Amino acid sequence: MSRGVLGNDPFRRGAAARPEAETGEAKPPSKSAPKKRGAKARKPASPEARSAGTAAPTAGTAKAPGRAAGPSRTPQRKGGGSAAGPSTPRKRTSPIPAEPGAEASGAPRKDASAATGVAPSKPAGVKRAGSRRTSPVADQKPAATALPPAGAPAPETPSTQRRASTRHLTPVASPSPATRPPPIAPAVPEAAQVADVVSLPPRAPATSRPGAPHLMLVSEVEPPVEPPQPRFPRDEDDLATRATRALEFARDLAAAGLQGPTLTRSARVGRGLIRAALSGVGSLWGQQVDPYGRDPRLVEDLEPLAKLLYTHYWRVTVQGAVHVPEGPVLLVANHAGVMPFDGPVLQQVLTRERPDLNEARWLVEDQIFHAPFFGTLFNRLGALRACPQNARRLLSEQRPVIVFPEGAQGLGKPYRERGQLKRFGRGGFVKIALRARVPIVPVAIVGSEETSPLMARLPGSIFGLGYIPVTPLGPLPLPARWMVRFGEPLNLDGAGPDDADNLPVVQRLSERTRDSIQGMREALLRERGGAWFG
Amino acid sequence: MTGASGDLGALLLTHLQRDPRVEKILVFDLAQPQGERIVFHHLDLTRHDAEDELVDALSEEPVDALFHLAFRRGSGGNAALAHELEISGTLHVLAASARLRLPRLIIPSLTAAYGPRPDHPAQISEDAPLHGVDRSRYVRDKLELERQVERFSAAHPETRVFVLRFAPIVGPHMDNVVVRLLSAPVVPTLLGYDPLWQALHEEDAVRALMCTLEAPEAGTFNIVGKGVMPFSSLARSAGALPIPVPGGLLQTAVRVFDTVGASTVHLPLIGFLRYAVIADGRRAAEQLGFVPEYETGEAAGSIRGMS
Repeated sequence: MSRGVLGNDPFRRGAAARPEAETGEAKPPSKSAPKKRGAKARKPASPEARSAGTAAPTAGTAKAPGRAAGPSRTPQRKGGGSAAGPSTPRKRTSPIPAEPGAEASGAPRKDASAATGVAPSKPAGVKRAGSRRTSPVADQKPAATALPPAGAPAPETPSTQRRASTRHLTPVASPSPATRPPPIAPAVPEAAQVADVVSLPPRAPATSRPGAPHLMLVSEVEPPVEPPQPRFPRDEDDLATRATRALEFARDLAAAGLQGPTLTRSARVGRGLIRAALSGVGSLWGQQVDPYGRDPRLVEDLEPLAKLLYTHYWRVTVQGAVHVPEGPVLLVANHAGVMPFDGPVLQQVLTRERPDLNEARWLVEDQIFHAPFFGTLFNRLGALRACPQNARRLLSEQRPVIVFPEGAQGLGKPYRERGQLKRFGRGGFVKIALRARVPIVPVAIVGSEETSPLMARLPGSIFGLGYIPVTPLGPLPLPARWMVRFGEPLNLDGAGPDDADNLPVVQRLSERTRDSIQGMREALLRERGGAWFG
Repeated sequence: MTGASGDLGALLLTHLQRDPRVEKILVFDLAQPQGERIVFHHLDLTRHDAEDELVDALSEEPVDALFHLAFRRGSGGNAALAHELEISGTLHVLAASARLRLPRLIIPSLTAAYGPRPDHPAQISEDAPLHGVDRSRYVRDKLELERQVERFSAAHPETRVFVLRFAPIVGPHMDNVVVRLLSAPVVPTLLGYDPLWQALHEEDAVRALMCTLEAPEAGTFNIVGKGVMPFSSLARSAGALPIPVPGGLLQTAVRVFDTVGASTVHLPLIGFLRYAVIADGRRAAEQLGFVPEYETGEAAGSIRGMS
């Protein structure tokens, strides 16, 4: 729910609002079965969310029958909602000042627009609000596509508008899960609009302070009813459109793979693959490696393949690469997907976007490093076992070091929990950075979770494994679209090497990094739209 | 020096003889070596009175440094002797050194003593704990020896004690488990694993020993070759053909071959086919002035006289 806030300004946000609970539900996959999964994911969340989940059936059924019942039902449900949990404190974190007056009652539209005026698309949204009445689904799309690049508070506004507009139809329950995260800013115009358009004056006061959050709650109830989600703006497309896009993607990919001197190119890709496989098995001839086991020749051989994957298969887009300072730096990223492709991808990002930096290395957890084939292969590609000594050593060589504090927990996330960052270890990365006096740069990665989704875990004790992951293509990656955003170096509050043993400081900085990544991730998700094609 | 008839000892002896700074070499061994400037004392370090003999000889002709290289690689029936030599032989040497207030004592050890473990950093420093190798009595004895030596150097600061932890020493004159593994035509590797290895050329090993004669600061040093290599590439450099074998099968096969005495693979080595043990040689370069000349691959190639 505080997603929007996080997305807008990850750095200013304190540790006050923890996004864990929300994130699970913030981005319900919604691709195949938004209804069920959304509700499921929501359950383990915060108390409010839970109550919202239980309220879901009522709301769902209530909505379908008709709008006529809406107004009369509203107060009722509202009451339930506020009882469930008015999470007022969140308001504090809102970047947009919520004016008490506006909240209080029937605030004139002006106020609302003032509050949300940041969005360039506002007028359009308002206009649409009028025309939208008849087909909420259809106009969901323009609104969503109108989303300006995330990060700015803008994205919230259209959705706010949308919510307001949909309210015309169903005054009670507003859809638009997107508005869930931006807690307060939307609440204001919402109240205003409700009062304004639906002209339910008695309702507005109720939506004041406690009302705002529970309005949101009500809206949480809705997404199942309305399939489109701002995160996947095109999800409402029918199957044919999607299939077309998939075909287009396949065509582009094939074209990319075959363009130019076809034979040499595909031969080079194939040669890279074969050499990688041999290297994993341990049968590659004449490998020359650096002191950490990286084989530059193998990396070179894999370059055509890496380029194909990077540019055409995963279509990696990068933001904020300029934030990575020169010299030693700890790049802290989120971790997801059964196969940890995020490490090599991030390394590729750095070599492509910032060739001026020293060669970066990434650290992988023991489970990967000592995994047969893949551990060997990753080591040849430049991965090191994650341990403080290795990090310190690499930093002392003035390299950027990529770490994934979620570790194996991040990889073991079931697909439906993919939006939720796991615990950031015990803050070891903060200690390392403080002791080595290097900056921490948070990095948000989107796409790793879909590239190698964990669909199920089979018991694997007979193979000496904690579980056997089940993925659609085994270890092979799916063509998810990747986005990587580098944040600004973390504000360490002047903490130095002496604070490395100061647990509260370490925890605070660790949490701050996590929040920042979570925020950037959600902004990226909104921006990316569909995970696969289009 | 002790143990001049061992592979490393014999090599060191020739180097010492060539060195003009060396005035005289006292050799304590069972077999008499040939050469100039050698004063031979027949000494069995496993005997109970070895310490007295050592003290007598060394007080007659005081020395600047003592290389303790009298070790055996124990296998089969020799295991007990090797253990005895390692433990009580070292005890005698240490006790004699203490009585003589010996200026320098040089004792070899192994980087393998860090143990094949999943939790090593990419480069192991000398301060890392020694974990030893499962089922390897030889390495276990080395750990015990290092403990003894550590206690000794704490109690006798007047003696400069150098413990050199050698990476696997390979070369045409060496005879140890790694050399035997690599000189077989076919070398099994663990399927899916290709850990990094270091190898030290015998010439480099001897040069490291020579470096200790002048080094100002004593301590424990990793002595490693130049660069690292995946094991399969190392085996290829040595002229062998690495064949990946699934883990369980490898264990069983090696056990079976070991039992019939036909195995070229020393059972405890299997751990090193899975986990890398790479020691950091920077301290030796800084404090000992030892920089290896041979690449790991060259060293492996030298086993068969290729290079």
